[in-house]
Amino acid sequence: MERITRRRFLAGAFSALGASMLAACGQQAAAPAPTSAPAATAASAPTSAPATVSQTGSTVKIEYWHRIGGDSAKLLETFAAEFNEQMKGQIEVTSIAQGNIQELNQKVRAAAAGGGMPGAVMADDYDVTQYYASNILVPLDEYINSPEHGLTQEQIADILPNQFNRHKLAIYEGRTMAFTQGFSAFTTFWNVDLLKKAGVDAPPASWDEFPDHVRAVSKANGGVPGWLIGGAGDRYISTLKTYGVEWLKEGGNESNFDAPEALEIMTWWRALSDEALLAVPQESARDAFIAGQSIYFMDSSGNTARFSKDVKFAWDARLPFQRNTPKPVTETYGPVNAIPKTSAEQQLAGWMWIKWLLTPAVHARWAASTNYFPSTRSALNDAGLKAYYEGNPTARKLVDEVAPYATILPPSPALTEVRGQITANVVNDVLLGQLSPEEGQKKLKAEADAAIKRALGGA
Amino acid sequence: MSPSLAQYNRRQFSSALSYVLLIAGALLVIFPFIWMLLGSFKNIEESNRFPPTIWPESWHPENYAQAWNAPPSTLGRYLLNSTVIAVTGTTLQVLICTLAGYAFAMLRFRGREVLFLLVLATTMIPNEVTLIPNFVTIRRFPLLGGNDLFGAGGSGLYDTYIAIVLPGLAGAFNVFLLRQAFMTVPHEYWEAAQIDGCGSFGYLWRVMTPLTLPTLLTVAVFGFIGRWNGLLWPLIVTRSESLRPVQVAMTYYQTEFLTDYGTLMAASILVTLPIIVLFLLIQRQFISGVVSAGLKG
Repeated sequence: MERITRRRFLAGAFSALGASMLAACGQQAAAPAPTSAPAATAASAPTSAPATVSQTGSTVKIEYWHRIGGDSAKLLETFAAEFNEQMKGQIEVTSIAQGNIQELNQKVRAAAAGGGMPGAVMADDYDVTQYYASNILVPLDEYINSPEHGLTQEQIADILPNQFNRHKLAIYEGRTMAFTQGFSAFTTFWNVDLLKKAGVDAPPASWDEFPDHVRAVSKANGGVPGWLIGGAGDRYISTLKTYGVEWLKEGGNESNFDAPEALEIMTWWRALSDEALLAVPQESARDAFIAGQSIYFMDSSGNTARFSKDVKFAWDARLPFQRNTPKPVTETYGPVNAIPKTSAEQQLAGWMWIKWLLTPAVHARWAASTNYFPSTRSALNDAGLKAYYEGNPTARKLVDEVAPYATILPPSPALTEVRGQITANVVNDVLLGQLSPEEGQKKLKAEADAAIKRALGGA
Repeated sequence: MSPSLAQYNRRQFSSALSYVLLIAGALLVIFPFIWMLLGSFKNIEESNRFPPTIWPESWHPENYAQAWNAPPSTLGRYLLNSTVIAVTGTTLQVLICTLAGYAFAMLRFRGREVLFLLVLATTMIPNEVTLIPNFVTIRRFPLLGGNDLFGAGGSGLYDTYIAIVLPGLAGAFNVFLLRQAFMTVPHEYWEAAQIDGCGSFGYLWRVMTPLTLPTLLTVAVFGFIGRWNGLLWPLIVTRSESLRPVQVAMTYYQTEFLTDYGTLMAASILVTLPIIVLFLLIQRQFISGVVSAGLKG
């Protein structure tokens, strides 16, 4: 056999190694120096008239990364085209779908390391916390307050306070790290027909009455389950919030799962589970509700879009039950927009774009397409959105009854693990009888605190 | 009953039982495809209904037209991109892994075993860990995409077909697979080939390749399927819809609260079809390769 000499082999190997090192060890390519202040150069009306964004006179081109699919993704492209037309010669936005939440998050992290960050990015609430911890976002306050490019007092007043302040948080040192673009919220749905059959006109007034209520309704309906839960960790933490207890203590260093309410919820969940009235099904809890196989379903308000089309029985929706809450509370879902650190021009262009998305007519079209609650009051006056709500009246009702009370969970870098893994596993163990509620509470508290400590850089 | 008749009956019963079990197994495997095919003709209301219907109440072949036209620049563009990515990527992968496998199996050089162990060790690194370093390598590839010698100033290979194809061309598992296949060929063949004046490349091409064809095809099919189904990496290294593969297009059919499963299923049929055709074309060699390599699904 023809031999490869050592010299030839080593020459080849070193060439390959050299090429790899050259590629990997290049200087920081496209990670511009972080900037925070808006590069306001000329006065313009905050929403409509083209603003001077470019400092060189050329069009500032930015990308907008999102995680929206279907017709709403196409709508974002239409929005970009309309915005580009209005800002001709100033800003050009390309709207790019980047898969789902996780894929978009991966793409942002890769770009943060290798360069090529977009001018604006859609993010979920807890992505924003992670991005903030990675120092890849710019605070929006200076843009919001900019006399040239910011929001007028009238515009600020138009935005629901819970949405305007959604990411103006203490953990961000009081700064605003993301801007609203519609939202949904933790909502209670119920089968009106099943309640009627049990001679019950309405759901109970509070969580306290809920267990006996579902026992009675279930009994009158042949033992149909009271509440099939989709996502044990998510729903447990959402329920805890409606007990007036956030999952995280002030300061963010410790969970609140040692609160008496945490045990109380676990106890009545377990009791109903033992009676086959509450369960976390293998299949979709949503589909089971649509099929009339559970009395209650508690999930995002956005579900009204499907229920208004697919549910064949009388159904209704309301703010989740409460207990001991001085004023009603529920959990906010849905994406926000943020501006990554790029160049001053690109950041300003990004701000102009995400601000434009909140102009009444644009935002109303977005709300109608996605079934998110509008973040502005003015969008509700839009004829198109009014027409949409005529076909989905429950969604309109929830705008008044649920939307004003929605706030995000206290953000923490540990939330994804605590909610999606730790809480989900412990709650499932309790419901299946593998842990008592007391054991479950202790385990949840210990594991969640350890996860928080790890996420904050502790041992 | 005579012993031979009893034996005959036993054989018949055993054969019938085998067929029943095989048919049941086949139905189990084929059911998702039948479900997908029937679902592709349902309208949005019926496809979201629970409990679901198996046979469509009304047939909606227009789902296929909708599936084709729904993504930006139509599904056709994405299918073409996937074909380019899968064919070029798989061809290069087979070429590189064959050469590497051959070197580890046949060539003698100092440090061969250590080097091979190092190659094998890379199979233990999860893809998630290499994602960002690979992205940085692509973005900072020197002297391309406006980058200087040190990888600064431009975007390197970002948003190119090469960026999608490059990582994974020298997959350690495939190198291992081919090395093992090459090592099963008796050494006498090489000695005979040498007498006939054959060099290493001639021996590899004329003798080794035909003898290890099933394994090569196995590597090719797994590589093709992997690239055809790739989503995260192409998403991360591209921005232009004109470059993105078909799995990216599949994300356009899903929305947060309401998915049109009819259209999604129609798109899935269109996307799965090339893989099924490929498998049917080379199934004999593929199964032979899987069996000889001791793989199973």
